[in-house]
Amino acid sequence: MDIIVCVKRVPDPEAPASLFRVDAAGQKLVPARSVPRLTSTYDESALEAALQLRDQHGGTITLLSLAGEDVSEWLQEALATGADEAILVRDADLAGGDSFATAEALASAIRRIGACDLVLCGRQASDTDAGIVGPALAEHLGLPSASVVRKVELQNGTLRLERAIEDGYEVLEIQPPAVLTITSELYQLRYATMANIMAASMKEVVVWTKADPGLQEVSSRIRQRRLYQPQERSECELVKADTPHEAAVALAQMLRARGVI
Amino acid sequence: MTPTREILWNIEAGWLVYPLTLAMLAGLGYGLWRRARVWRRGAGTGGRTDWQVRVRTLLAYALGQRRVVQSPFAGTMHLLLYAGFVGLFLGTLMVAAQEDLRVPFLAGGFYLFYSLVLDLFGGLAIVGLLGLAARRSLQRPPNLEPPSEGLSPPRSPFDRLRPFDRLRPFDRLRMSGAGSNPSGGRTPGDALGLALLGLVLLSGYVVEGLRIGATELAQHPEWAVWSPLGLLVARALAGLGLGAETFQAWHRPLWWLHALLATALLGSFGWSRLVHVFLAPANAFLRSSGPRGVPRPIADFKNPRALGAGAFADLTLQQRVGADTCVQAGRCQVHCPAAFSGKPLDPRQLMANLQHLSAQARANPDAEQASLVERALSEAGIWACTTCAACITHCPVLVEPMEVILDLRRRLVMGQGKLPDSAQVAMLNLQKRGHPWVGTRFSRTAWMKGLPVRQLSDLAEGESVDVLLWVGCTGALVERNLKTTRALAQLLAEAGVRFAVLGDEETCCGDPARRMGNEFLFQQLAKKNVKTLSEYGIKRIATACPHCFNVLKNEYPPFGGSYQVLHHTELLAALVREGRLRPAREVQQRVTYHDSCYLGRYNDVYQAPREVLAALPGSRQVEMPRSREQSFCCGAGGGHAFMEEKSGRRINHLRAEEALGTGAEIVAAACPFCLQMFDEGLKAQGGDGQVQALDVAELLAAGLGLKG
Repeated sequence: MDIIVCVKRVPDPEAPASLFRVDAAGQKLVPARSVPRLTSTYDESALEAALQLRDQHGGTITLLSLAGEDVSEWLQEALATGADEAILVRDADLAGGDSFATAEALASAIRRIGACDLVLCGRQASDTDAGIVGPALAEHLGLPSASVVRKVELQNGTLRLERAIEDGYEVLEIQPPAVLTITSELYQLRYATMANIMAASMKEVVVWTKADPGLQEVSSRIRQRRLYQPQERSECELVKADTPHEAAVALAQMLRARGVI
Repeated sequence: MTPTREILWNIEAGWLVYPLTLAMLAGLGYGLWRRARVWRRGAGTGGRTDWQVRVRTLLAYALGQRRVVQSPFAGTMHLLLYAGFVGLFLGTLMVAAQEDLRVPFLAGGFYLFYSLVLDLFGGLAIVGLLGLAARRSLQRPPNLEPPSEGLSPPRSPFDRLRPFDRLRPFDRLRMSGAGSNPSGGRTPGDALGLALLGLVLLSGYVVEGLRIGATELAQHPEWAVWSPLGLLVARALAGLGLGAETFQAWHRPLWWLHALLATALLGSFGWSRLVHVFLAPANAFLRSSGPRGVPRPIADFKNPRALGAGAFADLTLQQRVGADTCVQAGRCQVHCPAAFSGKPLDPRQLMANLQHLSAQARANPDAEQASLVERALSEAGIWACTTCAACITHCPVLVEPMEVILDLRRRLVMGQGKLPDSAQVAMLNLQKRGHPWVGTRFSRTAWMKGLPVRQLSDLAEGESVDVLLWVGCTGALVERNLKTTRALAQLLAEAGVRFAVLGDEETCCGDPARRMGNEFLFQQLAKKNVKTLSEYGIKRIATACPHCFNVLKNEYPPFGGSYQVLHHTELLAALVREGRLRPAREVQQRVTYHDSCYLGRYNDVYQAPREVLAALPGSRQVEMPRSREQSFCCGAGGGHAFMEEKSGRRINHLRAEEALGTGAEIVAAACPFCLQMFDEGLKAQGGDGQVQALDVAELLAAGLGLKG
């Protein structure tokens, strides 16, 4: 079973908000230099799902990433848990769009890779938390898809899925090829062995750009009006009164005057 | 007439001594050679060879028995036995020299002196032997017993000699969790060894008594008094009505019996635990001359066999010699926090198992290929070690179980990617974020808020500082420990020390990675930090974390980072001594200081923190039953600060209980992990929350009236 896993490099989702700022143009969120850049959490689960399928059924795993900057070092390190190869679409134009544009770009890259049995994505990226790319990708590729999948198994050529829903999970069956978005409950990415780390360090990340055949212009559908950081303000007004009863009345009046109650 | 005696008096066919000696040497040689064959298959450690240190270690620990005597009763008895046999052996060599070199120097006054000394040395050996036998059969210390369920606490006249008898109730608990121990402890072989030693001594005195009875008792009583114990035997036998002829007639067979026993004893060394007579010096000589507790270097991470140890075949020469050297004294077990708290790890059992595997490897080299996991130590046991270095500090023959455990971990982690979930979470965090504290809401500079602390990156061109304050992940990212860091920074400012911090440029020192078995990650972190420190030209570093302290001081030099590294207690003690910090506020409280493993046993810093505490006006220091070198781990080392403690009692609860037993109102620590462990442990054990755990720096800051 040949699997493509779409992965994204994101600023550490655990980094405190104080380490982020909005750029001068008010368009982008810029993390401080000290914020680590990591693989999006759910993408790690997607990779683990792929590794488990390959452990059982053989095949290959290809990591595919889209980025505006050179993240090949990160992508190569991501090979250390055992994926076979990595392709980076490095193009500021292709990567600069919204989720729909990203899905379009990834779809053209996947078509360029050729045949595959399964495309896995994280259920959503740890930075935008949109959860659009996976389903949109399926649409572009014309493949069946399921989102928020917590378990994938291959039985007699059919994919048997557990899809997380509010009060449990539902079991679905899909005929591959398909696009799935994976959630993290049951998939924790394995620990890289030294042998795999060493093997990964010998591999080269394949880099494509918009100039490569098959990759075309993409268009965004979402327009961002303004990005800003809310100002934190704290003021303190003390309610002065002689008795607790009077204080309560004064407080209630104060709150009503401000439209809080 | 000149006092002397005829060598080989009354002995016919005395030349038989030579083939007997040859047979003994052959037996001894073969016994050692069959072991050496297995040792030689072991890899070298690649460590540097410092002959001076090696010889010094040999002299101090093997000949000088420095560790052996640390157990007062058993050590003294062993020393007597050892000294006795060394004396007798040298005396016998002198006899051989006189006989074979034909130099009659055993005559006159010297002969009488020689007689006396040898006679008394034999006596020492007998006292030692009886003492050790009594310890085994009457006192029955639990560390010499095969552990079993429901063992009742031993009672004996020697009880008060046990250093930790206050903690005896826990022994029962420890025994129940330590697993079966078929080959350790009192085995028939040990009893046989002691018996053979005893028979050699006893037959020696009987032979001496018979000789004196036949040649000196009547003829030269003035010579006989120089062999007081032999004379005693002669008089006793004479008292039974034995005449001179009987003495002479009995002498000959008993002489041969004695000769045979002595020869058999020496010749069989290679098959008994007494082989430690040769292996303990060898093991001392082989000990790494580098800093303590550092696992062997890994030169090639591409070679899967070089990643720690997965099978006996992967063990180094030194580890193999160590396994054969182990005498099963059980001191490691007594001091091991994992064994003590009922975890599935008993370092004595580990060494017994390795000894067993070593014997198998002698018979069949292919046996070396079988996995060590489960056969030497269970996976849970491998992860139970807190790397507190108690085992390697207390082993009388310098065996290092901890080093083997680290190697086993390294193979699991780097070779197989297998580690407990909680350890994996911490290790991945270390990899991704450069610190082990998953989910912290602090940045590395958060603690500085409101304090006049500068970062190196903010210094003006050409400006320099006296010392870099290495904050450490825990001091910067865990709420409780932020207070210590703030107190320390205030103290340094108060004393006028020009210091700065790295801020966001600091990353984990690598200690948790190395101790949790990921040497590769440790080296990545070490190299990164050395690069940063070199860029700023750092020469002097102070830190409040003993783990950072140990790594920066002892483990960075191979990566090109050599610095003068001070633990904050050392720096603070110096500042107090110089009068730059003068605590004036009364601290009317009883304080007990807990020695951190990585500060104490790893680096011998025991005095500095106590000196700072002594400078606090009005405070009274009380010591816990186990302190300094004997200190008991808080439970956090070896990555356990980040791991779940699933079996047995919690180590920090045991230690908190011990601290509370001193009646102290404050437990002083000098390590961020110890502090966390005591915070929790004191709450769990103390109930009322009256007893506080504070860092030495926090106490000093309070003494100076500095407000956090």
